[in-house]
Amino acid sequence: MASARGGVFLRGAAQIITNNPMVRDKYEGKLDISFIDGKYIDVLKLTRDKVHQGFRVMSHPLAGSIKPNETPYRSVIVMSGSSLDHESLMIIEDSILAHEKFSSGKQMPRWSGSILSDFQVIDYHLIDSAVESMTTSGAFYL
Amino acid sequence: MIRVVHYINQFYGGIGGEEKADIKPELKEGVVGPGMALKAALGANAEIVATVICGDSYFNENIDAATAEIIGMIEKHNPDLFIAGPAFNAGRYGVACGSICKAVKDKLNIPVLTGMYIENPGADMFKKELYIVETANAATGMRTAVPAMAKLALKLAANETLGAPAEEGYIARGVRKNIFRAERGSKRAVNMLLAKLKGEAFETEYPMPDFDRVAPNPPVLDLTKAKIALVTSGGIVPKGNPDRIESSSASKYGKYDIEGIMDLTAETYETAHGGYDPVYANQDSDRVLPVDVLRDLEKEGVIGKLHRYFYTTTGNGTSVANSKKFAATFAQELLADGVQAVILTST
Amino acid sequence: MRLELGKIFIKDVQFGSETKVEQGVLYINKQALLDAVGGDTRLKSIEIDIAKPGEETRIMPVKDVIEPRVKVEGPGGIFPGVISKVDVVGSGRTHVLKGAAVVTAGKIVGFQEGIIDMSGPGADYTPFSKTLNVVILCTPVDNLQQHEHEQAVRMVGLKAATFIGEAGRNVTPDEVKVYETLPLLEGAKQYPGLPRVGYVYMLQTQGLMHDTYVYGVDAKRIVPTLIYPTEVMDGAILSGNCVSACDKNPTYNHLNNPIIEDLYERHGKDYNFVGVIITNENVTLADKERSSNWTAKLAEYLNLDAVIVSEEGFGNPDTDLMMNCKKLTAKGIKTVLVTDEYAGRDGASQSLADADKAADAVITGGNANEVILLPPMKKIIGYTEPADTIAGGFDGSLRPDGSIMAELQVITGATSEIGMNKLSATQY
Repeated sequence: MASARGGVFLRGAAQIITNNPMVRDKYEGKLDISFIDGKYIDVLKLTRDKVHQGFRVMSHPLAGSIKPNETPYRSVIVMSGSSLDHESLMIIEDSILAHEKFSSGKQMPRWSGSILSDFQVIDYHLIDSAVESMTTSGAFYL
Repeated sequence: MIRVVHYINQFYGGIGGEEKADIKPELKEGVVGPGMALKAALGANAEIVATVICGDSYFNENIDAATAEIIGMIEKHNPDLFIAGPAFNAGRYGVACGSICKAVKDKLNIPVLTGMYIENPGADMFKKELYIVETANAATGMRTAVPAMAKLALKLAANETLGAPAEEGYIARGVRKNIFRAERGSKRAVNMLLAKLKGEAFETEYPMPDFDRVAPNPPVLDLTKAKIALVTSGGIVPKGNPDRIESSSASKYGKYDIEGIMDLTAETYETAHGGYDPVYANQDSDRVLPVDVLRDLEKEGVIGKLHRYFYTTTGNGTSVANSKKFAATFAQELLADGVQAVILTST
Repeated sequence: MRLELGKIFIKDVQFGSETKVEQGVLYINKQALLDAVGGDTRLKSIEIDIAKPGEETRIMPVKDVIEPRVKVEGPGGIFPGVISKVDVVGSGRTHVLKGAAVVTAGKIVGFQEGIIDMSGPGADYTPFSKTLNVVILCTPVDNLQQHEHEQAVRMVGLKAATFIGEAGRNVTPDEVKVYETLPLLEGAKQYPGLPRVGYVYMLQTQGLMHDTYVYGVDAKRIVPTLIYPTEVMDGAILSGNCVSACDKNPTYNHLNNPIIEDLYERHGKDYNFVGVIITNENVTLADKERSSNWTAKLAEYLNLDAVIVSEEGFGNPDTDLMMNCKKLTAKGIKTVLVTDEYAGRDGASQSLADADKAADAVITGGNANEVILLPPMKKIIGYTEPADTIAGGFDGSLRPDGSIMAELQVITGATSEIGMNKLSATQY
């Protein structure tokens, strides 16, 4: 099973934007983290702002089949670049629209602590599968 | 007996044309104007108990107050069904019919129905929420519009499930509805694949969202008398971006007065757009929003007049829904201000 | 590769002293089944129950559904690489207990999903209200890690289906269907004039609880590759996907992939069904680009004229679907997509998180956001408390009378993206 890899990552190029404390804790010291003490949508909006600044979206902002009005946690990997990446812009805008669609339909239930921790675990594993893929391909070392 | 209240504008109310468009809402017992034909078409099981008449300008300029007042009038008659229009291609009338129908539906929780031409701006604004019978573009279509509306209205009043837009005669609402088809999905996929292979016609079950196509308007016949407005998605704003229009994914647009302004300079205007190199636009915003050239043309008598306001937003990553919403709002203002043509610049 | 699929029609399932099939009745020795699936120290208890069509029974939360099959001739065994050795399957003869299914149920994470109603309005939406279900309810030891738990439940389901499938080994099938796909050049020689058709089979592979296994390999680690359609019928593809009950592919659906079945129907008549390309749905955009490039390249390599592409899941895979569609179309390959929709409760929102003009031929399994009221049931197998915490359920979903108001999302297999159902959506 995938876990936080012990390998050395180059800092600076890639970063994880997340509101998931488990992701922050697992990658602390290994990858740059933009931790947001906020909601799912705040992660998407910060990702969008970064895209405006030239970052590329490396992992899909809607990763996982858990709907945006169910899980409160979200993590996205972005990588710095020099100019606006239109594909990244389209993906993050479509993701924000999808988020709006779901959150206008139904309120997120008031989850208990153990359910929240389950959501953290799943979000962590989804992003870990992206980290693993990017580590193998060397994308982190660009 | 189904109690019906009907809404019409000042023109169909027999009060007057554009010169009477600012009249406040009034309530008449029984039928007025097209209500006669509607009454006949509704038949014996329904009765139009009252008619509300309101001026189109008054309504559109005082939407909240007018809506509240009209709702009060309608409520008094305790209707089972509310019908507005038909508005055909009259834009402000269509918007009024749509707004009132939506308000009645939300507040009084009774079935509502209106009718209009498919290109009426009110149709686009309200078709998702309302049943709007598709009519011809002019009042000559009254004879077909009224029976169609009556038929659908009675179905709504009886709480019947409506069929597809084409068979019931209402404007497609653009909503997705689940149905059971005759074959399972995999079989349908194979059939569609075969049709596509053979070059035969097939109908996709999920049409991709419209990448909008707009039919061009007829040309302006006499430019020398035309009032022309400037609109841009290039983000030109007064220096300092007073309304803080976002550099991308804009949630708003700006409307700025250029009365007496002959030229946009580096000191007075800039761009808020984050999607292109702003250096040249900031040096001289006329490069994106050509106020200077239009002033020249105005002086030379090539155009009648440059409109006093320009409208601006940033097109960069801005959603189609937001863009549509912006334009639907300010297009009404432009029409009301007597603008005949718009030069829309993008970057 | 040629496979004979012998179908033994099961009309009833009962517990009995011996596990066997007799005159269409499947008898199960409960203790023997418990022994066969037990032994995993990660599970505290395993309970077994039976749910039949028409009963007022609700099963929830459902994890996987598996059809009992047994390999009676030819290399390998069912579920290669996991239950059986990694021999290449898909040839010889396989017996199926048609009409029976193993359903695994239990709580893996706190938020849950997957409802099967055996009668009432909910039954119309799930294919598994029509099967005789042997339900296995697993309770883990305390503080078991989620991925361990998921794996334990997955293995119990596969072991149970294998154990029950064995009962069909020496039974004469009621119907034998033969499926055959020839090696590339032989197939081309046999059907020279026919258009060449393929199937692009997208597998959910995003991570924990979103995984699919091919011959035991986690499919997120593969590049797109070729598989004979009959390999799938012997359990080469398994579901480890526990989220999005309505549009994930339970193992049962992989075994019975209806796109494969229906493509075979007209194989050799209207076209040459050349084979299946399996591809994945990973999280990174680089993986998506690579896999969609590879898919289009393989389709071109096989000289395909047309393909059907099926998606699995919501959101992220919409991007894979559109990339596949765009790249296949750009190679001149005619493409039909199979998906489902999340158009909002009122159906007024955009259905997919991505769109492309090339996607001009789409089959939809319906709007998963549409709301349905599931009336109370007399018998519950599993737990109803998770109704509030089910994907597509919402605060107050579970009413005091036991009815559940939720979106179609909660119903297992409701909006199948491999075209299992007649449910669809249309523009109103």
